[in-house]
Amino acid sequence: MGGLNAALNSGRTSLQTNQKAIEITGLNVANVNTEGYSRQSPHLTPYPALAFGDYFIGTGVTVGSIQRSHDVFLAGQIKDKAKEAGQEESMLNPLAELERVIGIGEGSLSDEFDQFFDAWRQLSTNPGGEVERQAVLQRGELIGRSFSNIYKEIQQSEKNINSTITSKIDGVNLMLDEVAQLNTRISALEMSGQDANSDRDRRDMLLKNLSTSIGATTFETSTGAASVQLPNGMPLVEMGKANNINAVFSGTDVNLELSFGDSTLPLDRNALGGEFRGLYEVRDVMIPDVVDRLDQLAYGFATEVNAMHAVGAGLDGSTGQSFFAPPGSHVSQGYADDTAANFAGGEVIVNVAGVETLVTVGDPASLEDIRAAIDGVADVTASIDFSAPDYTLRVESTNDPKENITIDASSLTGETYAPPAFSSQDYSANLRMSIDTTSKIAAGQTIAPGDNTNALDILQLEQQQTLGNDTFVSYYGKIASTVGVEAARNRQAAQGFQDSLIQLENMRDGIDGVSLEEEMINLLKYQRGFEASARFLSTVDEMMSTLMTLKR
Amino acid sequence: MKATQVTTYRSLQSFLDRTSDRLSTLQLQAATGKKLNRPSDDPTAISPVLSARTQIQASDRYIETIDTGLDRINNMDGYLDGMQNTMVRLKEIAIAGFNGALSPADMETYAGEVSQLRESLLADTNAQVDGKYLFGGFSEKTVPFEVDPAYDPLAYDPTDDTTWPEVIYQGDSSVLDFEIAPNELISVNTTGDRLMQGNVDVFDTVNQLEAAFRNHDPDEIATLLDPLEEAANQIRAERSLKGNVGRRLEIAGSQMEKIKIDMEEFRSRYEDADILETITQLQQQEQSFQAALSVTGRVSSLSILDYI
Repeated sequence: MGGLNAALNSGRTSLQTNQKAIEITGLNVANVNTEGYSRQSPHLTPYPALAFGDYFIGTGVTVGSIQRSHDVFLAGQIKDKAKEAGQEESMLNPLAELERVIGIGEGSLSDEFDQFFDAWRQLSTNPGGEVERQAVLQRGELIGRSFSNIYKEIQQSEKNINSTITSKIDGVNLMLDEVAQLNTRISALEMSGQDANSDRDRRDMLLKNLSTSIGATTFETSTGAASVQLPNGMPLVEMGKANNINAVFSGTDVNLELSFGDSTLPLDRNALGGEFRGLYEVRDVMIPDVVDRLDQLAYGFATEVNAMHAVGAGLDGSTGQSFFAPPGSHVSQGYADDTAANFAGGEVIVNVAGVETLVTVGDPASLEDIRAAIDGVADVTASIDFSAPDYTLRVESTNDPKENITIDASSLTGETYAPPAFSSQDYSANLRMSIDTTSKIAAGQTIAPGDNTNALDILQLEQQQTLGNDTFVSYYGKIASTVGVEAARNRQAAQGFQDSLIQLENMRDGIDGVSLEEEMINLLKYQRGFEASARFLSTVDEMMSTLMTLKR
Repeated sequence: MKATQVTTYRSLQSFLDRTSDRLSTLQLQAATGKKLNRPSDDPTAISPVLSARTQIQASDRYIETIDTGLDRINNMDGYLDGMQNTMVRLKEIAIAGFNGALSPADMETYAGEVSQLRESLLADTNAQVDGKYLFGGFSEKTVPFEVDPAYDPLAYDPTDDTTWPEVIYQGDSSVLDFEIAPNELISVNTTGDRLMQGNVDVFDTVNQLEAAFRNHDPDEIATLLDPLEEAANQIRAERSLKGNVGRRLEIAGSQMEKIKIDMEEFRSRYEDADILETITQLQQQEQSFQAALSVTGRVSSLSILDYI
């Protein structure tokens, strides 16, 4: 009799097991669109066989475990690519913004240069004309406004980047905390021999998102906990403990630091990856470079026009006038050493409000020698600034209001150091007119109303290569090209990483994802199994009834 | 590997995104007619396009400058023509005075006409266009020629040249240059001192002629024939010089028009979209977008659920 009872028992296990399997299939179907969900499948094992006389007969089936389909290699690849894709994609918007600001269409800065010189050219045909003079004043005003608009818009996009960083950092901290919690839960569950499938799915998705946003790298410890680190190796999550990243405000700038309990560690852009790295790259590399070159353009333009303008005379007899308000300071590029004689000697031309002074510098010369030679000459002071790691030469006008100064030190070439070239920080934001009445425009070198000689000289500046090998317009063109090249590269790269990320995710879903066809077939399979077990049970039941009728 | 519902839709989504992005780029190109809409469209084209735009803008202005110059030259030519006619008439009078045995009354009449002609010369040399004196050099707001204020008509004595109406030049001798092409300057003015007080002082000669008539002195008139011819030549020479400038301006103008067209072509090559090509590509993209959309629709109609 034990045989039939055993068969009943085995039928029962089969019913239960198939039911369980259908539940799991239902779970898979329910999660067909859940992001990061990994297909689960029942691992069916037979119950241990018992000896019946000479035979070992199994005693049914059970769900040994519920397995989660998971490919470690693909998960790692996805995290890697997510980091790269995150970095490039976060740059898309700021770069598009920058591209719009440094435009090349109508109304761009290069157009303003053309219009400015056009106004002077028009003035040269009627130097005494009030209308033409008004046009020159207006164009001067407009080009200054154009410069400061570009500057302001760039500042604005920097602000936007900063607010993006602060808004994103909260999300990152939440994710870090959650990973720490999941770590504790997963190791506790798995230690007790249970499966933590959905927790692992959730954690995998968080880790992928962390990789996208800060480029976090991960490895799994033997306890099943995920150790999360920044690209520079600083720990973010260790077991159940997360170190938060804080945003620190200095002025309008936002910087990040990692806090370990009491102590903090500042994070620069090299410590980060993913989206944050991309935003930092634009904010700390791209934008400062563009602003710096814009300043140089504004500085070169204003000082050249001023120097030429100062030579002429206005209708009211004024001479030595600056056209644009001259920059307050003139700062050279940085040099590593201020006392080493790394410059060749030569003559430096210091032009103050149209009056040139030749300063001889002995051969060879150090930055200090050049400073000493210029200092005190023709109403200018020269000093050396040190801001690590560089020494810069600063020249200022001692007069109030400041006078226009141009310093041509190009003859000091030929030694280790390149000759000093000057610019003024943030000058593009401050380019405005110095004169405000038409009679002060120096169209001629004499007071005569028909004199156009100075206007003709200023016109020459349009084609002159005053900024290295560049005219004003071609220098602007180079700034626009740099931004354009970077934006084009970024778009291509973002597209490429996006493509490979999609490819990898498709591969992952192909292995770990839910396929409706597969689930439907499994459903059929388990349903048939269930039906068959039921039929088996009813057969055993009939057999038992048959046995029962024997005794009547 | 299986294709699941998620992978199929993900791929289709990304394809649709990309196609619609390309479509919108092409639409922008077709709408603006430009293939260079932002720096990243073609970073290498920026420099040539910007410099071409600068040149086109400058060419426009050069063409206007040339027109202004031509106006000036033509105006001047009108006045110079008047002066030349005056000089011819003066010479006729001088010849009449030296040939014929004229009565003192006739002499006085001629003297009067000479005086009138001097006034006419003075008016011509003080010609104004647009409120600016043509022959004053850079001093375009100052009357170039004026009779010495010390002159007193009542004290006029034909035998004493200090009482004659001396004409003084108050302008300057500056050359007014116009830039008519990059680095090409051309002088578009004639200053009064060159015109009237060069080798011969024209007004002085005319004063001498008047005095000679008033003194009834045919011999003196005879000696003035050569200086008069020389004075006429001086004006004629300036006129032909400016005629040449006018010719040069005309040639420069038509050259500048050609340069402008060339530069437009150059700019267009880098900046403008080939409309035919753009439209063709647009149609291609539209087709592939439609195909993608219809495939997406087809995918959702195909389901295992319909078969079990």
